[in-house]
Amino acid sequence: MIFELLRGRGRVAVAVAALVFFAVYPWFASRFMITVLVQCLIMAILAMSLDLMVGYTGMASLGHAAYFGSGAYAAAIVSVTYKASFPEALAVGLIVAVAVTAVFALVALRATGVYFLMITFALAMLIWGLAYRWNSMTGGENGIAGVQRPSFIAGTTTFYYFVLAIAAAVFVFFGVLVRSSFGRTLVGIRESESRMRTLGYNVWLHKYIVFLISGLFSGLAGVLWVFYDSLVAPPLVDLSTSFDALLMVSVGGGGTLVGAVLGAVIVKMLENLVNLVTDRWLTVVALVYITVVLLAPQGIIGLLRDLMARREMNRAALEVAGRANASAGKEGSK
Amino acid sequence: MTPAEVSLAVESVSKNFGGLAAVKEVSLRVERGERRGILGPNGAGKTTLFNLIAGDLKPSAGKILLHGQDITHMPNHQRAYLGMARTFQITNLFPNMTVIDNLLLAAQALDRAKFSMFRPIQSHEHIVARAERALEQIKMGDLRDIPIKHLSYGVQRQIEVALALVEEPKVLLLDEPTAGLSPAESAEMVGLLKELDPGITILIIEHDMDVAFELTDRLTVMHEGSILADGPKDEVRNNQTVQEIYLGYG
Repeated sequence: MIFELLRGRGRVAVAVAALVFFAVYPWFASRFMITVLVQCLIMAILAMSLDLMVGYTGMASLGHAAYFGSGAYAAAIVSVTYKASFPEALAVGLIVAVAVTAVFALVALRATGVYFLMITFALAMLIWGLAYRWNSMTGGENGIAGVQRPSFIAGTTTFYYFVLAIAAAVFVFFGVLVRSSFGRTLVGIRESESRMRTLGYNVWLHKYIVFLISGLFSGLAGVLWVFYDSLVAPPLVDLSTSFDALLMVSVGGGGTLVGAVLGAVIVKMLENLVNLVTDRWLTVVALVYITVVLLAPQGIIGLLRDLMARREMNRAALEVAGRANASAGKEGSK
Repeated sequence: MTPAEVSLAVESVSKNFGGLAAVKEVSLRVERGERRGILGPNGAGKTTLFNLIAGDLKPSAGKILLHGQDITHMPNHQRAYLGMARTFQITNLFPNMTVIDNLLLAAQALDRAKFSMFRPIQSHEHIVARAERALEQIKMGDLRDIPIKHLSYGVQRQIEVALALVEEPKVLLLDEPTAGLSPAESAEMVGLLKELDPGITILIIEHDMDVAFELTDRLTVMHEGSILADGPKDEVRNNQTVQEIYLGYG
């Protein structure tokens, strides 16, 4: 039964099955399909990072292209212009992403709700503006091409495994984080900021910390993307990337890491595969999005969870009704 | 009375919302261990006064002292460290979290463990023990793993109080703890509140006169943002103006 897959031993089984699937995937997939899954995995890191804020803490950011993009650009610039090694490019990419996050978060955290969404969006457009206009540094409209992977991950399959290992590590780390004391404070903030403040939590500080973590891992995704695609250009840091990330989280189900991964796989697969059939792939993606919003506003994982909870409540209610009145056991099913 | 015995002092505090003076030059002195009731009709400024004391709002003028320390401009999360806790008139819990998770969040609020990122919240034994103790105190062991949103309103009101108690406060602000409760639930709540450690200073906003008389020693009656009467409860009950304005049987 599908519901058993969401808890306890079922969860472990799903995790093992997923890991086995990802591990043997390159044995039967074409080169093209391997690169599509590389895209999915990189975007899964971005989606999980965003989900920490959107799903867990209740801060809807429409600006994660900024942290993804600044990591990507920084890595590309030091790698191509300054001939830095892969570890150096990775380090610089992460540092720049965190630095940008540290400054932007100071501004964005002055707002909440839809205003937070608009401010993060506006700030992200600053990075886009820099990418587009700062020709000497970013290559302007052409971007920066020719980013080379180091030899140990040069091949499509080896790079796939490399990205898979990192994505899995991020998944495990975030899994530990959201169950930790700190992780629970994030959910508390989502549920009631005012109560958290009254209890003695410095809500601003917790939000700032999760913003930094989210920015760091978005930057990691950006660096990986540059080494996957070998180039960066302004479209990578425009609204569509921020929006895609938010779409992945909401399609899969905010507040669950599996949901973020699932959303990333669905959205990226759709983009790539529908693109083969028709130029109107955006229309198809939009239709999928509308369907999900109408039928499962909590996302796919959220929908499964709700159904499971309702089933359990029904069972519990039936038990109570049965005990109270054995002859009318069929009552109380709502 | 030496200043050390004054738990909470409010000194001519005012709060204006635009042109509306919600609280006007209010002064209060509450001794350690005192049970103080705050009465008044709707719009008298009781909850605004609470929000000022708790730090959810900043006063337009005046001073607030907790154990002699000026806390007028202190953010509310820091007041919790000084032993202040409050409940809300409109139930303010973490609806999608279970009862025990709600209590755990309260139990770790003043502990450095709240920043721990690599250990599950349940692995901090002293925090779990504190949460379990609170669960026992409100006798809700069997509701432990049920999300708040699935519980009845009466149960939620009790958890509202429990969340404030987990932190073992020195000063407790209760904003209409029995609001919306049935007589039976209300009696249960009164029972819970009567059992509290007599060392805790309690300020309680209450609409139900019987509840207020049962729980408190002294009463402060507010009307249109100002204090109308303040004194031992029997004295206040017999006050002519209070009866006319508030009790309505003058």
